Amino acid sequence: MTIKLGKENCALIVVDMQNGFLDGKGSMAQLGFAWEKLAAASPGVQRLVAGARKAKVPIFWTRYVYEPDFRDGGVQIEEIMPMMKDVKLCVAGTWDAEIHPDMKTEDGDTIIDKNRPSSFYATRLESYLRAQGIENVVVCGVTTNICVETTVRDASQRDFRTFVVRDAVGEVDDFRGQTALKAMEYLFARVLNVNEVLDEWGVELSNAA
Amino acid sequence: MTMEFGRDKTALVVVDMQNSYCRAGGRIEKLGFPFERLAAAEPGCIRLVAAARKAGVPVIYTQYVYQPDYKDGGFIVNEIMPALKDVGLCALGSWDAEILETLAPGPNDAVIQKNRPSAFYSTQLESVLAAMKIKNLVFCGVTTNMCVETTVRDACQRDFRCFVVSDAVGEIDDDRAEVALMTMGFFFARVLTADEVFESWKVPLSNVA
Repeated sequence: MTIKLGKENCALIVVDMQNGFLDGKGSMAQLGFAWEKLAAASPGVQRLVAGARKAKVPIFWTRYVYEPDFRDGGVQIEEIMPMMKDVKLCVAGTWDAEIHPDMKTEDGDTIIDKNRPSSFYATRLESYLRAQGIENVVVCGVTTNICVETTVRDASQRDFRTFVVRDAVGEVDDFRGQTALKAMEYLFARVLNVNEVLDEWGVELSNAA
Repeated sequence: MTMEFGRDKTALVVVDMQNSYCRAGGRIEKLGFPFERLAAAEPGCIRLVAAARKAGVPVIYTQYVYQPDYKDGGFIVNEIMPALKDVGLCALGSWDAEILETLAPGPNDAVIQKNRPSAFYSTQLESVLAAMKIKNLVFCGVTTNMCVETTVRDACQRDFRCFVVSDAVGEIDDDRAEVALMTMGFFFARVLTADEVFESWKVPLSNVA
């Protein structure tokens, strides 16, 4: 039994497509992570964004942003991965924290800043979704196993019908990337590809898109 | 740099050690899943609870419970895994939903009922922990990749220092079990063994063997 997706009451959530994650000079690259595997999500995300514009599906961009002195970093920054502080990962106001220029955000999109993996925890995302009557969320971006998956678990538990796009997400480690999709599909979401989303939204993109 | 902890401001959280998951005749067995892999967490959980009692560390139990007609089931029960409803998984008041006799909560233990994978979402857990001034959480129980991991992601984001006991958790799928521990160790917790917990609590092994 396939869980159906339409364009009614639907939103696209694009997770953390920022220079820090996607660029060879970004902080993830500086930490030695395989940033190219994150950048690999970019073409799929761009197609989804173009499709969402055509289908008039609202777009939410999340950004991972920390205070310059990381006083909002907490256990994850101070104890689990302190090197994030050393490379100044996604510090507010820096190039690293900006959404990657390929993403082409527009006025009217909603930008949600967060300082934890979930886009729901301590952010305004849920109130925006409820206010607009959103029932279905399509989630893409990086990284599959961390911020995408934490956001998907939270969306599903909050009873948003949740869809994850396997060719529009990226993870630095292949095994974690593949198994994250398996875990999400098991109990939290329907996993599908970009073309299936575009079909279900009833939009076609020209080759240029 | 290892994240350390002791007895102070520490609680043991025993996740979903219920007949449903760990006993023949439980609904997980009825669904065709290898419940023995979940029951494998039981001896470790029993030792941890015994050690926590000796160390004066409070023990908190979580219990997955649905209304008998699943009106609280939502997206996960109605669309992702409707079989949960068909077999009557963890219905309120049933034997299936009861915590294992071998791990029966004492009269002063907090039992947190939940109807979503995270023990934080829509439950009293966070207020109980705040009232007890708990900072460190030691996790055991089932299933590693679902309720344990979702709860650990939420706990860490809320800045509890999280410790996951690798030999006192259980999962039905090997890849998901392996990646769950990798993921939690990567960005959400320190993963350690029960013996390391006993050492941190200064409880002699002979007392909990």
